[in-house]
Amino acid sequence: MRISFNFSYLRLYFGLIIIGLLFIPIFNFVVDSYNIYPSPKIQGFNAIKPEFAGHMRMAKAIDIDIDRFHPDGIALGSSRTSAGIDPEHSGWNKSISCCYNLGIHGANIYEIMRHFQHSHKLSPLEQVALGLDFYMFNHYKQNSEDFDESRLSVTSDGMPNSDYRIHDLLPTLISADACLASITTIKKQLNDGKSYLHLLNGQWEWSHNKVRIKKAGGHHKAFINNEKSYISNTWFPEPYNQYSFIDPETKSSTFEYYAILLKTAYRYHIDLRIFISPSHVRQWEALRAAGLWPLFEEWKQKLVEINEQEAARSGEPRYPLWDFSGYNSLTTEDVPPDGDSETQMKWYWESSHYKKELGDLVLDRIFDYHHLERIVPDDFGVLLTPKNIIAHLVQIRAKQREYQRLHPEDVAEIEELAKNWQKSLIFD
Amino acid sequence: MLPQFAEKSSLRFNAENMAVGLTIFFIGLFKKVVLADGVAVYASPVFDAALNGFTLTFFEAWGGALAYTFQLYFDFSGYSDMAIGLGRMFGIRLPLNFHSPYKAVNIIDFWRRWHITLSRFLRDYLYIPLGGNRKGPLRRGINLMITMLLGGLWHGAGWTFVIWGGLHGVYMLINHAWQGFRRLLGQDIKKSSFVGRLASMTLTFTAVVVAWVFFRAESFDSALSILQSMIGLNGFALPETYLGYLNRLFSLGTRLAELGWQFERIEFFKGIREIASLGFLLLLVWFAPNTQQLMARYRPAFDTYKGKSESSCWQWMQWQPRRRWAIVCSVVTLLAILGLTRVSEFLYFQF
Repeated sequence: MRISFNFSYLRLYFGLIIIGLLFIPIFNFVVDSYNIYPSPKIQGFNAIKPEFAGHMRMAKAIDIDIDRFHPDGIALGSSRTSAGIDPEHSGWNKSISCCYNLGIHGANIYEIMRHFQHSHKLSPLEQVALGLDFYMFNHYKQNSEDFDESRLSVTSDGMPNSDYRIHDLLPTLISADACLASITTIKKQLNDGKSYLHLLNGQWEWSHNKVRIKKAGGHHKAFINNEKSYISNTWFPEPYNQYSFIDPETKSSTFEYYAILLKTAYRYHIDLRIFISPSHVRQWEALRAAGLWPLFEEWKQKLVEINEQEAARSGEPRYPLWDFSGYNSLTTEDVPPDGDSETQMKWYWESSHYKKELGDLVLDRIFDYHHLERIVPDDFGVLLTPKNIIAHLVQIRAKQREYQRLHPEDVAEIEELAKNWQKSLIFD
Repeated sequence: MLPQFAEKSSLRFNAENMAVGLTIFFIGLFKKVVLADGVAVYASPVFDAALNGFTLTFFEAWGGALAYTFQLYFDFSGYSDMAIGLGRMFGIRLPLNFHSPYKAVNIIDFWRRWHITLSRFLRDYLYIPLGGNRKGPLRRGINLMITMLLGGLWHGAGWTFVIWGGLHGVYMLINHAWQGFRRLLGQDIKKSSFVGRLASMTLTFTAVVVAWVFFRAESFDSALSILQSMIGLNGFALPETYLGYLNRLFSLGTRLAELGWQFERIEFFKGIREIASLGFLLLLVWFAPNTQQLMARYRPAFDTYKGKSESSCWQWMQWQPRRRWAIVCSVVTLLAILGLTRVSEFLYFQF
């Protein structure tokens, strides 16, 4: 009797497991919470993808491998690019068949270089708008936890990676994380602003940002939170709380990744347009208060120098490198006073993230595109060259002093943030 | 154990052995990938931070130390269950290796329950050849210390492992001395009340947690720094939102703030989520039946200590090849399989 008991037990046990192992991947494939499978998007079931934002590196790397995409134009950079740069702007080359926003939140320059290589391997790139941020070049800014070389179509030394497509299959189909993500996706099908969403072209969807800013207590609060986070973490990440271009052990520099990116772009005649993000002046004030201004200036000089070197090596004209940072008529937009949660800013969400409207002006400038209803102020965006870089830096310093004279309250508030952070480091 | 390999019935398919073996194997895998890996996220960052010179606050340090305590147990006992289960699928009974060690009421008891195969090896091939307890209390103490120090070194070539072994040696000496003292007073050391047992279990568990800090830490300094934080020398801090919650309880938040508690963004303590996870695992290791007890009807492991795997849990909780257990075990198996791979997440919110 016991033997038949055991056999029926095993039959039921294995039967249930087989049913589970068949049902679970089909369920996760159909829901497609990361937007990486060719599943239909059904309104009210899975059309909205709230899990995309938290798994952006995987989702975007696979997204551009889908046949309908294979973009030959990409906007590359960090969350500033993701938020502000429109891949459907009319200034992109007309010959581009598909353009995608490959901005990746919190990416360092190595991750950006690797995603550039990946994208170029999938389909040769014709045009790239590369948004650069100072934090990206900090050696202590480690690769993000969700960055994984194995899912990229090319290895770091340029060799093809044939297994990249199978890398995410198992975890995204048969894992507890994938099941939970599918359940979350089905539950969160109302675009009610509780989830950060992305458009199909990779750009950060902004329709609920105004409400979010309001709920956060207004722009002023959002600015302060952002500046705090930059001072205490983004520029000085845990656990080292340091900024350096150089790895103290290997003596290698983060600029090497920038150089590799440029070298590839020059070799394949990619139309690369480089720009330094147009964050708000309060961000630059926070950077100065944190003691990083000399490094920030050095960073810009190195960007210019390496661009010049790589251009000379390839025998090509140098890529345009635009500086939108600093103290110009748009980046100095007034921030509503503390407590005002109603007033909406025209160009900024907070200190570092600019709105699509400002991103459009950036693209107008770097693509030399003239829109009938948009005028780009003359002081917005300076083309950096080895000849003008020093004068440009001197000019920014003069404008900085002028800003400080006219906005003593903003400056005092930011300096207070930096002081508090320094104190917290001492007590640690 | 070895004669089993010569038996004809071994290595032949047997539905009962297969059912029992699979159940034990997947309980083990579940322990490893769901429980151990699940709680590891609270442990590793804390020890890494201490190694990098980061000063932790009270709850961060305790969270990390407790998380590692559970991680190690579920990891190791999970692997042991998997080995026992795999053996059983082929009709081989392997020796018991863990028997709810955190339920131990003293350190001597702990070492009868933790990594039993190693304890037996050290006893038979080191402690007894050194003279064991046959040459008087002083030699017994020395033999015990030598055994535990070498036992520590066996785990890894580093001073932190030696200190861990030494600490357990000292615990054992205190334990023997205490038992001797109680005997002198004419007390029966086998008799104890529930409250007394719970207090002994808590004390033993705390001593084990403290020792694990040395075992896990990659440097003596970082272990010391974590222990300093665990006794409150580096202050108390809770996430800033907790001030409001605690103030709803007779303004407790403000009172604690007045005592010097900080309410701020803290890196390595995840608040209520971490407390709930650690609390659940503590209840599990203290009060839940272990694999051997669940499978008691089928003598899952080769008994190395008489009565070790005897059941102490309710009859209805014991596994039998019936429908409800097939459903429970298939769910455990599926959860274990689903836990084998993970999708990394990076949350990035600005406003």
